[in-house]
Amino acid sequence: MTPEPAPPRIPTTPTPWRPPSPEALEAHFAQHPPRPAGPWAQRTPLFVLVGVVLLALAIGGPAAWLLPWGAFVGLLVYGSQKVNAMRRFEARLARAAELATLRHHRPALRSAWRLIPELADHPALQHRAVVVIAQVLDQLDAHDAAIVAYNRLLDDLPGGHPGATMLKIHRAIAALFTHQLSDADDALRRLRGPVEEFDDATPTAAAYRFALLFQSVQTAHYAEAIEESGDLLDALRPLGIDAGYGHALLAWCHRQRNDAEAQDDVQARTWWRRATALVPAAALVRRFPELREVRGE
Amino acid sequence: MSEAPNNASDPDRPSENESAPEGPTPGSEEKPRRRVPVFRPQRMQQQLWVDALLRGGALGALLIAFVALVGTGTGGSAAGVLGAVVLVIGWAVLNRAGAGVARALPQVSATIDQHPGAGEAVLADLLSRRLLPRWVRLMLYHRLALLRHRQQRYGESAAIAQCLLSADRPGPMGRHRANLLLLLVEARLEMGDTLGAWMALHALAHTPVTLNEALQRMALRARYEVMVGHDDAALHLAEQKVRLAELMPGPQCGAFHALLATAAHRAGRAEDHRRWWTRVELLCSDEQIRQLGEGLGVAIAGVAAPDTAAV
Repeated sequence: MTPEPAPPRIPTTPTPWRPPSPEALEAHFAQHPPRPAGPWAQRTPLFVLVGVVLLALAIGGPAAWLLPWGAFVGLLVYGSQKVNAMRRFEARLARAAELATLRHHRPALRSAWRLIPELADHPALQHRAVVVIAQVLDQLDAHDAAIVAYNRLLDDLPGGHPGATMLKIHRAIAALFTHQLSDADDALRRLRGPVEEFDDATPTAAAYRFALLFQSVQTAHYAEAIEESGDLLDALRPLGIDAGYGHALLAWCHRQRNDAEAQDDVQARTWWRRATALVPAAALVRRFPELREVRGE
Repeated sequence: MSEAPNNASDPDRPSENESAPEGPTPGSEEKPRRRVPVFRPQRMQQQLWVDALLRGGALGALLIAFVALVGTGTGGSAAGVLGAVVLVIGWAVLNRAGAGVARALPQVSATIDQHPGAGEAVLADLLSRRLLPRWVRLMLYHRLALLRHRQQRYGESAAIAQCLLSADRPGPMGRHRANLLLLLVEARLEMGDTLGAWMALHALAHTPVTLNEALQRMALRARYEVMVGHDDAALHLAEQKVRLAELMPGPQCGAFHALLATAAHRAGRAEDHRRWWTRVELLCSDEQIRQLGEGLGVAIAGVAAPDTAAV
């Protein structure tokens, strides 16, 4: 009797890829929390060596002489394997970070996602994998999930860590995108003091300035945003090309205020030209759909 | 071609800013920080040789003791086991200094980045230790090259980089080859040594690099091409290069656009020049643009873009 032939595979339309939901991300993080090695675990090799020596003293004979050497060689092999494993993890992490920088979102996210459970015993490396996840989710405009990643990163950092300020700013921006305006307002107020400690020409100060501008836009305080935009060009420079998003938001503010005496129309066009000199109009509209009006669609 | 500093051909001789001592101000009670002496390849070789001699001697003594334990037939006794333990402890002590310095290397890098003066004091302390494994000492010299580069002592940083690149048995230091070549290219461009920079760029082209290193290589190559007047080469695949440059931090991105704008201006591509110079003005302040002209060693060609001067 011939085996039943396998049914032909029905070609399926590939479902569009979506980034993980906040719930899925939270569950993934909860399932694989960082497990820092305790002081006893770090000294395990030493205890093994001492134990073997005591055992050798107890049993005597030629085997006793060989045991310490065997343990010593074993520890050397164990140590070198650990170092090699760390190097492999670091190489994979670096690759994931490069993919994220090059905006290859899917492979970057997949790689970092898979690394989370594997790096549970290496909290510092796992933290870097979460950074990649947060970066990719932000780029994909999956702001709810990005907030989960930022929360995890902030939980990992000790209080007063210099990197925490930037993470909090990014979390506040993500909250503004998801219209959690009161959370964002609280966060930005609390950040005023810490941000003042940074020089104006730092990305942290520039990101905070962008967050304030975005907050004005989201709360429709256009006139306020325009009044405070005197030094916006200089303030956003540390953001590099991404300063274009800030310029576009200010163009939007001028367009919304639309005061003929203040020549808002001209100002809107000027800021929009600046924005599109740095970021393509399509990318601006993709991130802030309301800018379609400024673009003239 | 930019001005070549006096020490371009003599890496051992300190430049003007090298001679400025870093220490406490008169009247202060702060202890002067330790300094690393001006780099000399002979001193590095001597240190490597002394390390190898001491470590080899200690290892030889341990081996002799091991052979003696086996030869005297005391291996199976309690004294033999204790002898083995002493040998293992001896091995651990021999490697203790190297392991401690190796663990401190990331911290040294961070200190150099944030507080170069303090970083130099730490390096001076670590370099003065004995019994370091070869790769650890080479790594320390790599950090010294980074420090000197940051201090704009380009003659010295180039000399260290050149020495490390030609070192035998680099071990884990070999992973920093691309980084050293980048440093060498930049140092030589700063010194106006375009031929040396080209040779390092050539070597860099055959070295695997990370994304960040590839971006730096692209920027340095453009700088070299603009410096020597190969504007067509600088403008080749310019749009792709610009897309990659957008991944750089703001000031570096602005500097790269300034180079392209200069090349476009000289090549008579007015529209490209206007487009890239507009970006330079948005990415860099007037002060940064002025510094760019000085730092890049080329006459930056820019015009006030009409649409950015409006507000």
